[in-house]
Amino acid sequence: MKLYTYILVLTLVSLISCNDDFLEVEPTNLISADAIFSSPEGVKAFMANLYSQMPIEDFNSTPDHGIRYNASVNPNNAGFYPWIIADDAVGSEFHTLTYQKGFGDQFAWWIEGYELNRDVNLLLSVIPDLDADQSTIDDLLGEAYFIRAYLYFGLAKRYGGVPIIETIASISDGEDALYTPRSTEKETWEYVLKMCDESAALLGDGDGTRRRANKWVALSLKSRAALHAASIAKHWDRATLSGDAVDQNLSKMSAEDAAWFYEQCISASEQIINSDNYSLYQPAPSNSDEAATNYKEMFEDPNRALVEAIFIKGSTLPGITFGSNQDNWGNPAQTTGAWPHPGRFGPTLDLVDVYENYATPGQSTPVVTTVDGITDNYDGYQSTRNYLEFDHPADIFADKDARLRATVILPRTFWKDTEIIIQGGLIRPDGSIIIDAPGQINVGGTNYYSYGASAPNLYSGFSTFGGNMTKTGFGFKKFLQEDYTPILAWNQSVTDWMDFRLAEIYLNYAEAVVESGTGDQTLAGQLINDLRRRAAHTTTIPLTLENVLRERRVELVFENHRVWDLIRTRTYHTEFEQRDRHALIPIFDTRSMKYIFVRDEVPRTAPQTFPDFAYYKRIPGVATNKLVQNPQY
Amino acid sequence: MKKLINICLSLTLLVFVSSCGELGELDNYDQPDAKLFGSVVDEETGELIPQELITGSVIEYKELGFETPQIQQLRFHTEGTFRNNLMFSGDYEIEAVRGNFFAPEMETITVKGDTEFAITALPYIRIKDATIENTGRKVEISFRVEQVATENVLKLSMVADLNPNVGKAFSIASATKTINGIVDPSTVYTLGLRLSSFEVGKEYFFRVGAIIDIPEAKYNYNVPIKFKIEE
Repeated sequence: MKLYTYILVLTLVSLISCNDDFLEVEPTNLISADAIFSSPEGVKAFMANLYSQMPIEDFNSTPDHGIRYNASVNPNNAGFYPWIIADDAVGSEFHTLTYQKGFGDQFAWWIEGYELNRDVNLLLSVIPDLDADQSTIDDLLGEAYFIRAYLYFGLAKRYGGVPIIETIASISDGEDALYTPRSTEKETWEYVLKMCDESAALLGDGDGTRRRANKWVALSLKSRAALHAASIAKHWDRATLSGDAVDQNLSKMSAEDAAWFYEQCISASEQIINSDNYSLYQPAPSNSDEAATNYKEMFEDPNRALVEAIFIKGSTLPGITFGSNQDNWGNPAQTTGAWPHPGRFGPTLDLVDVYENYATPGQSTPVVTTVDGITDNYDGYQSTRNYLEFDHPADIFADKDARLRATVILPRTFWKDTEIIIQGGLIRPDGSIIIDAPGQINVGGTNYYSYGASAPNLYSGFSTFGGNMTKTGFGFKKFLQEDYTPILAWNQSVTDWMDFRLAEIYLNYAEAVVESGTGDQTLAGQLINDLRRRAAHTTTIPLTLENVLRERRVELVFENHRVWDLIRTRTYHTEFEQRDRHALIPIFDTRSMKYIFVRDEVPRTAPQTFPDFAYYKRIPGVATNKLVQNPQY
Repeated sequence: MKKLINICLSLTLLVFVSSCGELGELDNYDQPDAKLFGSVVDEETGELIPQELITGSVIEYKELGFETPQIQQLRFHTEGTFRNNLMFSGDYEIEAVRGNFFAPEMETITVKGDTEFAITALPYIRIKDATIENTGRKVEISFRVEQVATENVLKLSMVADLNPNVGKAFSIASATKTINGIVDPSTVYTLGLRLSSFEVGKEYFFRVGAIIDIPEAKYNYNVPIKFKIEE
């Protein structure tokens, strides 16, 4: 009988089992929204979280895992960083531009973007009711608008026109409130600039730490975003697409819109340049060695260069969600400490060739390796050619712009008091060659090795050992900490990231002036030469598009602009159509006991192609969010 | 008594199974029951127009009768044919887009059972008389370029891969030559790839192509040539 009762009770319970009101309890381990938004301090804490969600492309930004790829216990993508998917560097192991995710999903940032958008809208909805004075309210509003501008910039440069959502839909709004359609690409860019303006109007000069938004940070974002939009408008036709999204101008800009956006870039940049708040760090070095040291130190610790830094994403603690893996992946094999897989990025010869020599101002000066001076022969070593011989492998770079040796590690130069050996081959006394393969020979009682030393912990180039060696002939240096030796742990680097700095604003301004034919030509020319003067150039060069773009590539290299520059100018698909990237292979000739260099395709890589549709990324979930998909997905 | 318990237990089970959703209900769609296949043929020569697998021309189709039909895509085989054996019977709007030929207008077709859809079109460019040779230092292909479209020819390209679907997306080595002009159909062009890019003794697929200056145009290639690398 008792059993019968139990079963009856169970039956009754089952009848009401979908009524889950009793689950609605206030959690005791979380702070409620009311508690946070009832004070300005709570709002500040909330704001800090919003900053951390911004799509800042720092050391933790990866093409295959998006931004903030330091939030897991094992953020291992083997160093697949943005700079190896363009022409500035080649990965030691990756021979494809896409790795795990296809072009359409690289740098994906849709869900994260709208999550942040919702948080911003939540904040904006409570700010007016805060018990605080007007200046505090203005600051909070200004920062919220800045974050909103930054996030829509992040969305627009990936997806084109996107839905602009400024309020949080309520459950009583009905279904249609959930389906905001995409704005046109032009409207989206205009919205980004408008938010920058509103932010700049509310904010002041800031507290000097460069870590929070202020008026100048908002204007810097405007400078960058306006140039991006203007370039797309001017150059969209270089990669014509078709489809519904194009017909509706969701992923299309028109050349006639370019002028307005260039104008916006020029005016925002001018305000920053003309303000007295910023200047170049160490603008007039006495020689090129000093220039190289200054440039290297600025990225090692941006806090040295607060005069130039406009916005810094700081990093204080190592560990998950805090640090990065920059020193792990970046160090050459010889200075890896306890980290098992360094040397992941090899700067390309293509990049090195872009730098000016001091003797040839205003010209990209490819590295000459043969007596005939021909630099477009990448057919590898040919015994019939006459190669130039050097006592020391760094001699071939002697006249190069100082920034080269501050950005990359040249063969047999010193890094952390260690001579970094990068060598790809050996010529035997009989004239035969070992190239891109292990080998050794004894000449006159001394052993010589094709990789320059006897064991993989004694050299840093060309060997396949562990995927730990550069195979371009150059090691990575920019941002690395000379005083820090990697340990066997993730997320240990705490290098600060300069997201905006004055040099970029100079370059944005100069490019906008040249591309639009408006603005102050004299000032633009002077800014380019100021940057070159800081790199110990003493001859001025004229303002031309070629000079501006070269200076941009050199000055801002590895600051995660290159991929977006290729995208916004619609040159990625032409630069990367069956593109081989190139190496400079140092070879030791045991006949002369000197070094020669071979210009070659990077060993063990295949030609790479960027497809035109990837200028716009794939929008996720179009079957349910009812948005018009970008072309060809 | 036992009977009552059994009834109660059954009732409980029934309520549990049915109370929180439509568990166990099979979907009511039929399987794909039709096939669509065909090819793209040069309307002047009657030959297939060679295509490329991933980065080549595309056939887009959508099934009529839905409020918001999704555009579906079909790719070509290298030699210029296509096939989808998992289609649903129905009426479709179908067109070839973003290709290497002057695409005909969109058509509405009925797909039922084995349905053939033939595309007859003029290619932008024809690659003629491609001959391959191992010069001892390079693998070279000599060929002529006959342009049908009047726009400039932008570039010539040679690609190679172990995969017979060789093209822009499948290549371990490539060479290009910039033209940016009108080509003379009698000119013989030669492109070559370094022998050191290949392993001796293996068979590779090689092809050459040319691309026209038309928005979204794709390369016009020859049919891949299978070629063994000898010492």
